[in-house]
Amino acid sequence: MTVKLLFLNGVAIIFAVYHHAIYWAVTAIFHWNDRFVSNINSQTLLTANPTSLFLRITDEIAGVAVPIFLFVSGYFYAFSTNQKPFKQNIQTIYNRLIYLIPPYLFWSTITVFFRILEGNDYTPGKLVRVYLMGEADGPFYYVPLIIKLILLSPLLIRMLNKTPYIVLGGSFLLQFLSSIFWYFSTMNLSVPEWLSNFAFLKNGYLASHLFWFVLGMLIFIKRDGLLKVIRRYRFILVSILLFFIVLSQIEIQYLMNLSQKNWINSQASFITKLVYSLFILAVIGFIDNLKTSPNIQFIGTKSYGIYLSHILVIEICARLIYHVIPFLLGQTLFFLGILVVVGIGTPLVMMSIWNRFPIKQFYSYVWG
Amino acid sequence: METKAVIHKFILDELAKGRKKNISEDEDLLGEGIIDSLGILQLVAFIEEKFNYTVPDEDVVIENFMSVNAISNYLDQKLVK
Repeated sequence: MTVKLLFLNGVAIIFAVYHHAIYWAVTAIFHWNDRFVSNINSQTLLTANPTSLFLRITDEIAGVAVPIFLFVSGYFYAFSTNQKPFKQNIQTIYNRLIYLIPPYLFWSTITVFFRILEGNDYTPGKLVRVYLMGEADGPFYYVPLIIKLILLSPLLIRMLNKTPYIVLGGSFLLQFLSSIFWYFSTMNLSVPEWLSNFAFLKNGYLASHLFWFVLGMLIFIKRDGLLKVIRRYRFILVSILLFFIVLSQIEIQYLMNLSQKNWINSQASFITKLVYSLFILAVIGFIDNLKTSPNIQFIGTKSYGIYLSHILVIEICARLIYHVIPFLLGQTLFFLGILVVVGIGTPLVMMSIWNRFPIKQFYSYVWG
Repeated sequence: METKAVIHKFILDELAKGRKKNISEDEDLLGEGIIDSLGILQLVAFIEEKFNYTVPDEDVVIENFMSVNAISNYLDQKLVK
């Protein structure tokens, strides 16, 4: 299973790039439609039809990228910290953060610089949020989140060794409670008073994402027993997964109709979060049957660098297409394919070039 | 090339790139930040390909992957069988 996790990481980064490329496909359909002639228009996405369903379902599934990253990280932080003295764990964490934080600061700064060129203003307070909360761009939230989880990992591993299913259940409950607020805001309803006591859970991503990290840790600790159970029930897991994928699509359509919104970020829905958890378990159930690809495994090894740098790359690519070959904007699938290939290929080329010059000694501080 | 030298070279050339120029055979690879979680995955993948040996999940524990010496001791035991 261990080597297959590298493949899974590679699939996750491709999903992450695809998920962010969809943002530009939707932008083209809603805001750049004066640049091309196509059957796709903003109404296409509001109703259930093959194009909108394809985009919505693939967008939802591709959103499993971050849960997979967290699951794989949890698995290996359990590997690194389990049964080790606390002092040694602190040293491991410190040495991990040394190579996690500088690339994040580097790419956040590059992104801020790019946004300033676009005409955005940054107050000192906003800059503090950019670096502390991961607000340089949407996907940057992942780094402050994983830092918090890494810092919590020595505590989590001890709790999991003592009361594994209580910790797992607790993190699941946190995920459920943090999702409730999203439903109220999407449906423009006010939150009941008793629930507002838990309002702090909706801030940040820790409460909503902790479960997948804990799940990875638990599967490492109890891998002998749990893997057998997951493998035994893998077909049932896939059936439940398919049921929840359909249910989540019905939910999204219902919420879109109710809220009159053009596009809903399905990742925030609790049913979608269930889909992600079931997806991970189903993949683990079938992991021995997975045919891996060395190329995807290779991409998996470069996932952190690709994750941080692809955001600007696909934005520049989308804007270039807008100005130079706008008819491609109307060919949604082709446009998405270009963004994904460029979003993965360009960072890989940049990493390779970086390694050919004396600056390669700083490689880990830029690409992780 | 003996197992230890092969492992040492792979870690130095591929995993410690830009992190450390030299590593001793007893150095704590994770504790010193020489390799991270993805590094462990790469290391297991390399071992499986190079030595044509599938590392069982239950063997992927810190004791077997702590240092170059730990990895080569583990492999020497397994590859003899």
